[in-house]
Amino acid sequence: MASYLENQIKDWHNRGIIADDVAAALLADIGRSGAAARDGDAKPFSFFRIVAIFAAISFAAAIVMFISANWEAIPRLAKVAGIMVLIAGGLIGGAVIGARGGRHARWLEEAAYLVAGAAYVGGVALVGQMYHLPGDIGQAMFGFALGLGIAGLAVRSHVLAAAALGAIAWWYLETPAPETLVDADFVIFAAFCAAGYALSRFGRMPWLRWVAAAAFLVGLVPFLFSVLEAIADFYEGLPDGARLAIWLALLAASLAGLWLARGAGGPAPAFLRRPETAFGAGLIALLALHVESGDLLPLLVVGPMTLGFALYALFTHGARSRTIRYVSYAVFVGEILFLYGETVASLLGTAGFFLAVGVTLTLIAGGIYWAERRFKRRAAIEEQADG
Amino acid sequence: MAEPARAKPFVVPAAVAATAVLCAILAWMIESRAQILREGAEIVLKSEPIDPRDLLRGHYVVLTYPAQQITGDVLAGLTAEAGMREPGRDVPVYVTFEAGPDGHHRPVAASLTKPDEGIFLRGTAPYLDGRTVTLFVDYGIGRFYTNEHRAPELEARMRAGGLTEIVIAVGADGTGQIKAFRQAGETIVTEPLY
Repeated sequence: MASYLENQIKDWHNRGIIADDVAAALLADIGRSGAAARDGDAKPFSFFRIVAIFAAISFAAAIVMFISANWEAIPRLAKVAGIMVLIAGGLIGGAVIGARGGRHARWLEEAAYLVAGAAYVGGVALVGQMYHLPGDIGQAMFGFALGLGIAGLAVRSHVLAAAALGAIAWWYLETPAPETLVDADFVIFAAFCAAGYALSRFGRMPWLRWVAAAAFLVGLVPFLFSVLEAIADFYEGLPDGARLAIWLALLAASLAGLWLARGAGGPAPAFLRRPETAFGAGLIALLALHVESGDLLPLLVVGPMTLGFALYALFTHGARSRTIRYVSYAVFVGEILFLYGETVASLLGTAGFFLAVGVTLTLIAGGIYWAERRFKRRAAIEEQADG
Repeated sequence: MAEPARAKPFVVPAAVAATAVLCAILAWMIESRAQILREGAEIVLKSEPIDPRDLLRGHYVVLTYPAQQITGDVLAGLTAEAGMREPGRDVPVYVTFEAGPDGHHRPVAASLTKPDEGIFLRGTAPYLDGRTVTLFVDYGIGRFYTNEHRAPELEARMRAGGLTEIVIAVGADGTGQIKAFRQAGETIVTEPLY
């Protein structure tokens, strides 16, 4: 029974993509590693194997129970020695498994490294108990990061390197001033993340790059938070006129962007081909104007502006962009409900309010149905014209 | 795995080296503390449980020492030293101890720099400036880990006896290490070297 891969290799060989000797070598290698796997498949049930597995499980359970029952009685140095054996077994065993190769070698290798890393962390905790070491978990994280990082670098393990990066991010967040970027702590933290990135780059472990980036971002959170706070403070300190000008300028830019992006296609700048960006900027400006409606513009002005913006977006991009279309509907309906809640609700009472909302929503739904049919027709005509 | 498995160069020797490093870190942690217990000078500090009902948190006993509060003449030299500088957080402080007539050691001097003679403990002051009146120093001996069998007995004894004497082994660099518990001259617990 030839496998898919074997057929593929023969096909490549026939089409002259790979040379004769390469094809022969590949087929021979598949034959070797595949033979073992197929042997196993051919004998799915073996009483002897089941019994052997049960025996192994029983032995393992007995060992675990014996150790946990006598944990207190085991001399402390024996415990440490056991942990060192686990570290050695995990690291060296994992390296040997990885070097030998095979079907699940990469997963088994990482699993063995994980055991070694866990043993190291447990060992540090055990020594901390033995000698009543002070300090909390945040400070211990530095030692974990260092040890796991050295081991991860040595055996090029995803698991250990990722654990070290997580530990260093934890440690950095627990330092006295994680929001200042000009102290030794941050340099150490950044160097760790850079080392993780370098390992992913030169050790060809692409997945690790994202872990390094994520750890760095997590460490930056306090700093970003302080920046946001500074921006918010600055904004609060601005006079009303300046704040109004900021949001109106953003809204105007959004309107202009939407207008320019109308019908743009082909060789247009990126921002014109993505009118959703301009649309989003306009929504942010309107949201800010709503929040600030007590100080800047009254709702009586902001509300109709929002409705007008939604209609304008529908007019310019409703036919082309489904995102803009549905968000515009939602904004329109939401704004109507919001304005009702703010103004008419107090006049009408609850029952009358719901009646008014029902009538309005019916009208809007009718409008949307009409608009959708038009958009569909227009899209069909454009398609015909294009085709 | 979309990408082909590539051999990692030198992975087995590197694994052996990494094992050696990790085990060396653990061994160093152990030996640096065992050395203090073995060779360090001994001082005896009084310890007072603030609230005996709250002695045990998890599997460790919280110990507080009157010697953690430094005031008066002992502090004066230190604040004079610190007065010149910015207020500091987590400042390393060296406190020199001498034995009193009752056998308990008391702080007699405090300094920001390592003293040349005498028995001193290295601690950390969470906050220090020129106007500090009472200085709190953390010597890193505030916890005593123990197991669930020994803990209740220890707690009961400390509750009944009130004050307890803690024997501290002091390393050459001022690191303190809990060595034994005593109550009225009777040793309750002695810590093993390893």
